[in-house]
Amino acid sequence: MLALASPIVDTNALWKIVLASLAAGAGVAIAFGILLIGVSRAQKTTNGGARVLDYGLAVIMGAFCVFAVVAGIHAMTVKH
Amino acid sequence: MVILVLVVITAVAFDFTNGFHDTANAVATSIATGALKPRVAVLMSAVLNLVGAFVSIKVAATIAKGIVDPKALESNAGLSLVFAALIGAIIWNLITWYFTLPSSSSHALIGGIIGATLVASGAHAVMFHGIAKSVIAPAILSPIICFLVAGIGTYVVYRLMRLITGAEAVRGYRYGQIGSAALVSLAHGTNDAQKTMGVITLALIAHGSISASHFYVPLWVKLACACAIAAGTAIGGWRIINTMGNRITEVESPQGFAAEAASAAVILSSSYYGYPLSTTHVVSGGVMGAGAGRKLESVHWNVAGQMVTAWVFTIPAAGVVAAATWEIARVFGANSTAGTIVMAVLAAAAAAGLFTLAQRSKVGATDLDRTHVSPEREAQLGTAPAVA
Repeated sequence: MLALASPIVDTNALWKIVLASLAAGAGVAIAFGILLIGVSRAQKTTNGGARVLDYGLAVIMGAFCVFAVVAGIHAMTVKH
Repeated sequence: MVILVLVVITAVAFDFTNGFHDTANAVATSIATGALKPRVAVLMSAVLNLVGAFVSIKVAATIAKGIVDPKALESNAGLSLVFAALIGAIIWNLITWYFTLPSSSSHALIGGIIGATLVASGAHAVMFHGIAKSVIAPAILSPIICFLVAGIGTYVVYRLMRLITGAEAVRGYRYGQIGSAALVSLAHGTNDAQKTMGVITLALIAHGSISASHFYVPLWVKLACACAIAAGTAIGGWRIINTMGNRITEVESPQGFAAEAASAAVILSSSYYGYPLSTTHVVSGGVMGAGAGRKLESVHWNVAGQMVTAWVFTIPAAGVVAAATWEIARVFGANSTAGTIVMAVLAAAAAAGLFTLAQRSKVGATDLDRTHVSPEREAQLGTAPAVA
């Protein structure tokens, strides 16, 4: 089916779009959720080590979200 | 010269309708979840659409490329054709706005160009393979991809949110939605304002004011289009915001964030790989996917069906209006100024009529404001993720 549709649909580009969208779209929503969990747990725990780990997890997830936004803005400026 | 001025004015008017028609794409879910006050949301979106319009002119350079024979858009006939296309797009935008249906302004413009070209130059001037490849295929695939991405994101997020309280999740995702709405607004500005820039530049080339071999968008065109789309966005298309944010499904903050993140990802990755697409289709697919990701039956499929029907009819309907505009204007003489003026007046009257009719079922910013619902209250109401 995909082979028949290839003149109209560039399946190579289509898969890249699907994978990039999954990584950036679903990925950011999930990463943001883990960030919230990290912050929530860090605020509630009394264990200093666990707090550092939870905040560390939140920072990593936050960095992923920021990276996705920067990549998105970069994509706007270098459209093919 | 009079026709050129009318084309420019009509193009700016189209850009304005594009702005208020598509405001919903960026801010509907943020308003529906109470992440932003309606007026704050549309003002933020307007400013980012304005900024986005200046980011790149690559979209402007590709308007009508691969859709119709460039020769059909040359000289005075080209000016009249672009004018008819714009009238077709504006009228269809206003009809769908009246019926509160989110539909693609870009497809309306493409439909207008196709319809006017068919009657002006014949079927041989329309590139059907190019339309299938660069318009139809992305129109079908992009909402499906966004539906799946938003659905998967929402499904996983709701499993994760069991680890924290509902109020924490609502509060956190409301903040996140401000960022995701901003990114979609910026992406919309980079795409849609530039389509009108491309149309005006085409008109200037047809008039001979700009050389076709040295394509560039004059600064005044960039400014006019950026301001028109920003002004349209700032007006706030409350009717369509209501449909997108409240009528497709009841959107909660995590769903709104997932829908917007998925939409931004699909729009930007597709643009990056050279597939221009409709932000309306993508965001609508994202909202449906976010609804289905939480609970399949929470999506109002009858509303979704109405929207898809409007999408199917957008290109043919805008094309028919554009073709009729071309034919009626020709009664006054081929490419005549009188015909163009008459059609501009008739279109303005039709727009005023639709606006008057819409006042009978007016939807305003205050009707949509949900910022008074606190995260704790939203969690209690059961419109938030399960409380731990």
